[in-house]
Amino acid sequence: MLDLLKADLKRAIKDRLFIVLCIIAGAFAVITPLLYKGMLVLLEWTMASTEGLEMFELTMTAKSMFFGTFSFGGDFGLILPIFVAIILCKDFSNGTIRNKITCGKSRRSIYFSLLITCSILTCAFMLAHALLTLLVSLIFFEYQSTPFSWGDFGYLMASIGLQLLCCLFVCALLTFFIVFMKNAGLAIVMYFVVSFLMTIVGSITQTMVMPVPPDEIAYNVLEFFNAANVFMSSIIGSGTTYQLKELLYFLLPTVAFTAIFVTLGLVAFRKKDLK
Amino acid sequence: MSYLLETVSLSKHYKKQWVLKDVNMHVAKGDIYGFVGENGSGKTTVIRLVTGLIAANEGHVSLFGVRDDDPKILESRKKVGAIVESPSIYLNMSAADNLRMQCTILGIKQNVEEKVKNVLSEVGLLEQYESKKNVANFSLGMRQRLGIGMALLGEPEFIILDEPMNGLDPAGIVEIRELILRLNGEKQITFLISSHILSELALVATKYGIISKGKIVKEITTDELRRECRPSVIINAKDKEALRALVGEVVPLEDCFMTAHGVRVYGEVNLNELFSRIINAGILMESVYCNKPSIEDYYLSLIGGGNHA
Repeated sequence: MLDLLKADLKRAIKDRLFIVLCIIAGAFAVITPLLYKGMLVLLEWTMASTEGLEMFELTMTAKSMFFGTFSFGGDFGLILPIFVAIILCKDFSNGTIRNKITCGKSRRSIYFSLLITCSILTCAFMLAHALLTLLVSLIFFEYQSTPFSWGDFGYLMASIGLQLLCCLFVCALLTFFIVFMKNAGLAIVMYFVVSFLMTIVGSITQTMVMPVPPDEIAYNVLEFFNAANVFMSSIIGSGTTYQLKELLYFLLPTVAFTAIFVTLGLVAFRKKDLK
Repeated sequence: MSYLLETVSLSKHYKKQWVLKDVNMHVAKGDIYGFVGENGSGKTTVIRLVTGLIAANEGHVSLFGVRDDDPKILESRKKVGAIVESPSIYLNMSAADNLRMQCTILGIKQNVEEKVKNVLSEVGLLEQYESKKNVANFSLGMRQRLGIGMALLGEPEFIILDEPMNGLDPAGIVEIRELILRLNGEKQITFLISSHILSELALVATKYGIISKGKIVKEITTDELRRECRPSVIINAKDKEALRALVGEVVPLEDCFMTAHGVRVYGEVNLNELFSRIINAGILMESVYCNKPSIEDYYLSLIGGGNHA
C-alpha cells in the first residue's frame, strides 16, 4: 500500500494542475483580505454614520476570514474538489489504474491509496490556504474584537481539527464518486449535487432554528441537522467554546457518514469492471 | 499437465448478453500463445478477465496454478506483465518518468535508474532516457513500445500483450517480434499475444487459441497447424472407390483422406508416378486440384467465414 501511496502522491505533485492549484490558493489567500480591506476603505468614504461602519469592523476580523475560507462553502473550498478530482481521475482516464491491478495490487489497497492521497491533498491545501489567509488578514485586521487568550488558541486548534474532519468526509464522498463514475466530470457533478443539496437543506434548517421553536424536540432536531451538516460547518469557528452536545451532534454523523462512504466506495470498487 | 494459465468455462455477460461463453484456454510455460480472433470476438474480454480487471460471471482463471478466487492470486499476478488494449501510461510524464513511476508502484527500490535505462534500451527508446518530452507527444508506436517496457519492468515470467503490433511501423514490428522471441528464448518468458493479424502471429507463436463469437473454436500447436496447412492434391474421379483403393496403395494411410468425390493426398507424393498408375488402371480422372491453404484459410474455415478447400 505504501508503494501505491508514494506513487499516487508523486504523480499528483508532478501534475501541472498541482502548480495551478498552488497559485490559486496563494492568490485567493492574498486577494480575499485585500478585497475586504478595500471594501472597508470604500465604506469609510461613503458611509454617513460611523455606527454601521463600527458594526462592520467588529464582524470583519482575521478570525472570521480564516473560518470563512476554511470551509467547503468558501471560494477555495468550492474549487479545490474539482482540481483534486481531475488529478485523481487521471489514473482512470490514462488507464494507469490497470497497471496497478495487473501487477498484483489489491483493489482495497488501490482504493485506500486514492482516498489517502485525496485526503492529504485536500487537507493540506485547505489548511495552507486558510493559514495563509489568516496571516495576510492579520496585516489588515485584528484577530478578533477581544484580546487573544490561550483559550482562543485552544478553540482555534479544536476548530482546525473539526474542519479537517469535514475534509475527510468530503474526501470519502469524492473518492466514492471518483471510483464509482471513473470520470472526473461526472464525479465533480455528483459531488456538487450532493454538496448543494446539503447546503440548501442547511440554509433552510438554519433559518428555521433562528426564532427558537417552542417545541424542544423540534429545536433539537433542527440543531442536530445544523451541526451535522458538513457543508455548512455552522458550529465551527462561530463561537468561542464548543458545547459537548453540539460536538456530539457534529462528530457522530460526520464520522458515521465518512465510514459509510468509505465502505460504499470499497464495495463499489471491488465489483467495478475496469476497462 | 499443469498450465501457467488455464481458464475453465470462463463466461462473461453484459446486460444479459453473453460476450464469452465457456472459454477454456491452456497456456503452458514457455509458450508463445497466439490468441486469434476477429474484432469483437472476445479476445480483450478474456485478457481483462485473466488480468483481474473484470470479474467472470461463470468459470474461473488459474494463474500459476492459483485460482482467481484464492487471495494468493495477487502473488501470481506479480509475475505477470500486461498491456491491455492500449498502453497504460501517464501522458503528462516523460518515458523515463513513467518507468520510474511503475518502479515505485512495483516497489522496486534498488538500481531503478539502471533498470529504466535497460528497459528503454530493450524497447528501442534509449534516446528518451534524458528527454523531457511528454508521452502525450509520442507516436502510437512509441507509446506501444513504452507500454511493453512497462510490462517488462517487474521481470515477469508471463507477459500478456493485447494487439502489441497496433500502430507500429514495419521496423517497429520486426523489433518487437525479435524482442518477444529473444525474451522467450533467453529468459523463458511465456507470452500470450492477442491479434487479428494472423500472418504476424505466425512468425512468433508456438501455440494458437482461436476465438470466435465469444467461444474458443480451437487450440492448436504450430506443428498441428502446419500439418493442417500443408499442401495437398485433390483428385476426383467417376469410379471413386477404385481411385481410393489405388491411391491407398501408393500413399501412406495417414496422408490419404477421402472426400465426397475422390481423395485428398497430403505430403510429398510423386505425382507423375501416381497419375501414371491411375491412368494405367483405367480410372478416369474428372478433376485434379493442387491446394496449399494459408493459415488465414484455415482460420476462416474454423470460424466459418470462408471456403476452405
